[in-house]
Amino acid sequence: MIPPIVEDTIVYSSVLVLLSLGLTLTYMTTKVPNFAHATISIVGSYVTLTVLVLSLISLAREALISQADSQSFYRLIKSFSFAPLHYALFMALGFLLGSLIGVAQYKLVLKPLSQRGANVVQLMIATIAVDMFLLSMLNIYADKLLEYVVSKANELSSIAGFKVNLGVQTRDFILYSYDYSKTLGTQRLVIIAPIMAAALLLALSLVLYRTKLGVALRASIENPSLASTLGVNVDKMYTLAWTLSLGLAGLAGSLIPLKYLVNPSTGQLFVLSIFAASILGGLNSLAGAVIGGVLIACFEIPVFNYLSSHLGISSAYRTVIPLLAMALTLLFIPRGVAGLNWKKLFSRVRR
Amino acid sequence: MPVEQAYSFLLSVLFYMGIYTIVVISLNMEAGYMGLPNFGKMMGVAAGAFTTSFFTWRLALYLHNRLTGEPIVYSDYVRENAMIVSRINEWLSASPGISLFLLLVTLIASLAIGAVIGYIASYPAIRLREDYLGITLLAVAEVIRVIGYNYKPIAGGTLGMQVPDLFRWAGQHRFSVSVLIIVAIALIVYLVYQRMLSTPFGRVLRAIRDDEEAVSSLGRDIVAYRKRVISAGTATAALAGALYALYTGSVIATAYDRVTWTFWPWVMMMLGGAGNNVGVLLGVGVFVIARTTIYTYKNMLEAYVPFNVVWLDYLLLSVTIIAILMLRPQGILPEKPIRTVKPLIRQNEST
Amino acid sequence: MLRVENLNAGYGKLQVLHEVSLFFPERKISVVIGPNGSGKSTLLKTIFGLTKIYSGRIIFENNDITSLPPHKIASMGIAYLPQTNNIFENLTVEENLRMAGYNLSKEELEARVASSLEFFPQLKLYMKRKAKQLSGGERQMLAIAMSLIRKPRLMMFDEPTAALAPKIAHQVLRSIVKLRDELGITIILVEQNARAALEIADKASLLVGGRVIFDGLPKDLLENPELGRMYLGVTSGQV
Repeated sequence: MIPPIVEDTIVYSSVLVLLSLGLTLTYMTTKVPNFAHATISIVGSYVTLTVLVLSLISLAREALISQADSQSFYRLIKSFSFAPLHYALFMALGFLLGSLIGVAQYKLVLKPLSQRGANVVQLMIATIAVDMFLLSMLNIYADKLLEYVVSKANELSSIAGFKVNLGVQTRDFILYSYDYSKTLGTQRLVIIAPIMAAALLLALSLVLYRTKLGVALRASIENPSLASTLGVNVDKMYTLAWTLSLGLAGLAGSLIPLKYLVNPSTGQLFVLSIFAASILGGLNSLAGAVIGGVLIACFEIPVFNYLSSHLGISSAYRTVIPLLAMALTLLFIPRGVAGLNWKKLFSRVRR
Repeated sequence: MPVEQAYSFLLSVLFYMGIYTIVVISLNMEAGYMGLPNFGKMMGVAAGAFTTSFFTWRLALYLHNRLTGEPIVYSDYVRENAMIVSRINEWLSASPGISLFLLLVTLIASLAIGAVIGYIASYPAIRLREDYLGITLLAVAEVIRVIGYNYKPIAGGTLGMQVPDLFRWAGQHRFSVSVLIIVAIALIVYLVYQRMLSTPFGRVLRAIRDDEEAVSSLGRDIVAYRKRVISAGTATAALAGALYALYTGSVIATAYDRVTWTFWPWVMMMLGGAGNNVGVLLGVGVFVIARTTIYTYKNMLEAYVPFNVVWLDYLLLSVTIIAILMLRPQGILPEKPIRTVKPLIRQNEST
Repeated sequence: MLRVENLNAGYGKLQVLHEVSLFFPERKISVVIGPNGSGKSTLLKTIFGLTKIYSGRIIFENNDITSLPPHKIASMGIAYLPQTNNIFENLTVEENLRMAGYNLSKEELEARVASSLEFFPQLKLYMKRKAKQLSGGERQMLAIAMSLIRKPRLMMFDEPTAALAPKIAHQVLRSIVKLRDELGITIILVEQNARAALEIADKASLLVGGRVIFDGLPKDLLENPELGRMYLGVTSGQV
């Protein structure tokens, strides 16, 4: 049996790695940290919720068609668990929706503003505005989804002859129970999250280092003017980067509600953890993003846990960890972990 | 609109304009004049509010106990906060002199604490470049808020605390009088800043913004200027925070969030035109009036909007910000170049 | 091969080149020298379409290329090698070369990379190394190698030896001579390092304040005592 704190760290670091990879990749293209990154991932969370809602409704309909009574109906509903198809569906849709929003953000907001000569601060504010816009949209969606659920429940109730309650809410929701596996004795997420993170990381590296497209993307990120004189369509490359980055965000977000409480504004709570992970790793390094994600997750969970139990610090102060990490990194090692001169450090240590 | 409603609309607008003018004027000095992207503006406001919640009732209690000889007894000041404060308020409602004294002391204390926090927070400002600096200040502000939210003695932790009503002596005119005082203070702040920034000091700030190296090669200590500006700016924002807390009668850390107290001031500044104090007034005015109007006519708008009007706010705001950035990034009133020589040249040219 | 006629050009409202007329003959190394700010770099950028042309013409092999955008000019066989920023530092040498042939078919790319490496065999040792790990001189060679993959007929160099030690600068200049001799490429070479550049020049021009002060044979420039003193740091009799 894996201790819960280890499970926690595994899941959190997988999610954080996927998110900080995306953030770093978009930073490398537009040189602006994207404040909307976390909220876009929460869009993925709502994809998962929607898949759940639709599945429950169709399950409920089937149950009622077979004339179930109220007890067996509720037993059926409560026993619902995500099947492999569901995971594939919400992860894929999360990726898709995330990438669409990402491309829209790039093409409709950031690219035009860059072309008009907006400076870094103005671009940062633009990303904050996009974040707020998406937040409003998510709130509206949460309302609408709830209306839908309620109306369907009423419909089913009148067919059933008893009160049908699907047991879902569109705010403050957590889908742990649908992810629990009796055979594993724990959540499937504990396996799925790290595997997805590793697989996607591998896929991304292969694309970036083994394909012509990937090399062109890296070239465009590093030196867009030189790349364009060589015939690369730099804009297409940037669009590709944004597609991948926010696709990863949407996918990571689709997994989040399986373990964490989700609200439209949940993104605001952890956006700074993602920033901290990217900054700690070094905003110009993808390998750094991975290292940063793992480190921040370890600081936030096992390290903080140790400190809080031994020093009596309330667990509410966990949010201070990424903030401190961010500030300290920017002050002392601004290029992040990836920017450290490892050779120099090792030679110093050897002496 | 009936007179009463119109009057309360006016009071609300004046209140928010007063508070935000103070905040945005200080932000304008930091970001507009000196080019310091202060994304941690909220920390000043929070500092003022927390000073009020920590300090004012304690001083009031001390004076009450000394002067009335009927000490208020309590065991847990956070839980019994409401009782303590209401007893104090009763006493204060008959003592305008003491209320004003407490007001003065609270404001001075807020200025002081704000200056100290600003000074400490300015350390990262010394060496970081734009986007990194903005993020670091954002992080520091968040840390302060987390501490204020969790460390009970400051602001009652998650429950919040009430603060003594220092305007209760005005009886039924409480709201009008408090708004009057706030507007007066805002006016004073505006005039002080206007004066301060039209001196060579203001020119140096702008010069630093435009070309740091040139200014420092002329012998000016850039670091010292940054420290001074951030301390002063944070102290000023603290003033606004204290006034806000005193007007609303309570402090809860969640009310001092980065959207309301960092992002919106930025929007107001950009809307009116950065680097330009009259622009600040304009930006604050337009923003506050627009929002108050939406809020007042919320019910009417419900008919036109296919979703809950609550979300309209953020939606319109985000779209407006992006529109400003795209169409008129310099704001309504762009910065005027500094006039040091009378325009006789133009007169001569036309002859 | 390339002729510039009464060229007036600059950046926005700032005019840098004034009535510049020059001719750069085929298969020759033409050197353009002059003090800082004289418009030498601007001349190259203008030919490549990177600046604002107020009036005048640029003719390349009987084609008027005056108003063409840079990528069109590049496709006509003209290569522009700026002083810095001419390679991808975080990519390997091999990836840099491949990027240079981005639009080529796989076979063609392989062939051209191979012949480029024949010209700079030292690079073969560094194929998997990141470009930022190369020395200054090796980087310039990589930049030239990348340019060769495009099979240019005219190569314009903007101060290729700046920031290089004299010995390495000499090596780079020798490679440039090789480009003319072995590949028949026409060279326009802008240099601060006047003496070294004039040594390999077939033709020389002197630009001062955006105007052509001298245009002719290198030895005439070197032997002209006044110009020599003013612009080459040569005192009479020291040629």
